[in-house]
Amino acid sequence: MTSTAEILLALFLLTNIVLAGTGRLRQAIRLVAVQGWMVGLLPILLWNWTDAGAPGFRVWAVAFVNGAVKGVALPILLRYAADRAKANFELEPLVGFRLSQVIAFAIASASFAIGKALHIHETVASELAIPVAFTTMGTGLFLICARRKAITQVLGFLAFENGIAVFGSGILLEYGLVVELGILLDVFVLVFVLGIAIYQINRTFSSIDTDRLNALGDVHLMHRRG
Amino acid sequence: MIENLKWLLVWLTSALFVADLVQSVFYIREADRREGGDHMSHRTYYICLSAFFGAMVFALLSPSLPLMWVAVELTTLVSAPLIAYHRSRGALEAMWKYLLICSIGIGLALFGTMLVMHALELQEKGVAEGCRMWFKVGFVFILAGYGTKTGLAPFHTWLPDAHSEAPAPVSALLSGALLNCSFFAIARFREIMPAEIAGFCDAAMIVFGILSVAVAAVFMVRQTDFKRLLAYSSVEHMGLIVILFAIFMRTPADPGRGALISGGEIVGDAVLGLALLAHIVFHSLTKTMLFQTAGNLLLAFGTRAIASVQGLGVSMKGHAALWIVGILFICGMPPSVLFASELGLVVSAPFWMSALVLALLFIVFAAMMKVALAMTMGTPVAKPEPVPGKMMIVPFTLLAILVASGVLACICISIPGAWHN
Repeated sequence: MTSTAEILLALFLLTNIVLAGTGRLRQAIRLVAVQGWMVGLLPILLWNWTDAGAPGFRVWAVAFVNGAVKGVALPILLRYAADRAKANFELEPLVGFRLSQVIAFAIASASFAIGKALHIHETVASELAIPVAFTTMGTGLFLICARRKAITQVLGFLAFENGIAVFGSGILLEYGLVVELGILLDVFVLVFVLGIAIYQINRTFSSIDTDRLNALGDVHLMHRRG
Repeated sequence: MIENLKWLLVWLTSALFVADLVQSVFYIREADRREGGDHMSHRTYYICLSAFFGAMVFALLSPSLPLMWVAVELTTLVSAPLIAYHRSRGALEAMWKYLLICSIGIGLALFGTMLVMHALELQEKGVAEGCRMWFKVGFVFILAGYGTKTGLAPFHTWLPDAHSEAPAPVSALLSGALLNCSFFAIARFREIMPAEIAGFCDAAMIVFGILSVAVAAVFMVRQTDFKRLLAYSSVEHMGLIVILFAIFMRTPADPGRGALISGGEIVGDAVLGLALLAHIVFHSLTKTMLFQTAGNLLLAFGTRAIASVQGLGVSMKGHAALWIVGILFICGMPPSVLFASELGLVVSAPFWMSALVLALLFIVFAAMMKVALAMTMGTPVAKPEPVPGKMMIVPFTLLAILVASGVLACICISIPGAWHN
């Protein structure tokens, strides 16, 4: 099972590189959905089948709900938000797409270096999980900073959350069903609220370009006064 | 300390919720009448406000650390729509910044929670060497993550926008209650850190605390918007609270100065403990009163610009009294309880820290007094449309409580030998 998990994690890494380089919102939503499915599958694949027997109902339930929410429900919400805002392409990102891919590679290299430097205890399920988690988190944060459209920022945030989930699976953290469902509920409600916010922003600004959202602040106000 | 803090914050949050709910009833109706424009439905507003209160109490009373995370994230989600009550451009921008910055912060806090939980597992298994690093890194992420929601610099950037654009009762709840709940999360994690890294944790908290006070002081100096001024004041006070907490955790109980006892055991120095608890409570009460007054001023004058709101002593005497006394109290002028707690901080901190904090507080005082005096004195530049008298009931009640407790606190600390009893 470990080799399947490692293949999955390698594919996960690949989705980050592709996500960094895509300007088509539909493709980006699909990539984040694929990441969501993988995040759901990971605990099953990282389960120690030889030592602990088959995983219990709780593990299957959490995997299924994770996959359903992150792989199905959230992408549907995001596609709906993108359709309503009539946004299909990220036309003028702050950092160009090719450069973004190079930066994503750099983030991946840095993550592997950090992962090696950390003291990984034997209970960590897969050596690959932690660097992949850091890469995904880094790519997500980079997308939030380097993209203009509000929806791409939401996708970056979801990638960030997926990275954290991979990290949790990698160190085999057991939360309990209530907490897992609580975390999922939070992410779902967050994307829901962000979707509504995007709708409101589109209605008021006639665009979901977050460049328009920079009227508030102190530095330029102080310059104007003095 | 955590037990004391928890129940105190539950009571405080409940009291503030009641105060802001009552003020909301008057404020929302007046705001709709005067400002018009597109706004959220009242039903959604009250549902979100109640859910906000519920999520905060859930965060305070949650039995486990991950559940506390779920609750704090929930507070972000239900308070965000409240910020954009008026659906203006500024409000939407503030809401977007709030959602994105706080969610990233909370994501970092989740990462930190995972690291600390893993460290606790390792500690139980007896792997002493390895778990130290996990605790350290975990605490850094907790401080960065929950520090974002607490309004510590340099993660405070959402705070001035959100607190100034939101309707006044929401700003009051955000400043008075939510920042405390996020601070409680940091305190809860600090409590479970092992003794070997306690020094590192306290040093980190002091650095962020002093940075917050400094940043607040800088941005208050030429402020043009009176609600943003109050928001930066919240950043400053959360910085002071974090500094007080760090010094409290560092200072062992001294028999000469009295000890704070919780659950039958000594948890720390009495002076610092009381100063911390008093500062949290009375900062919240004073800030709530100030934000509600600011809300009334905004309704009367139709603008948040300090330049347009002048001569309150002539045109709106009641609000002038509330405003000037409130600003004096929040700056730590006696007879404010904040004077007593800041004195406790300065007396107990190392010399360099006290000197630095006092210098920064002096800058804050100068900036705030310039604004307060400009607004209350002088000739009015615009004629306000006065707000109904009933909108002054809650602020004046809070003022009465503040003055009474302030006088009591200042008498207590003036008794010779009070510090040693």
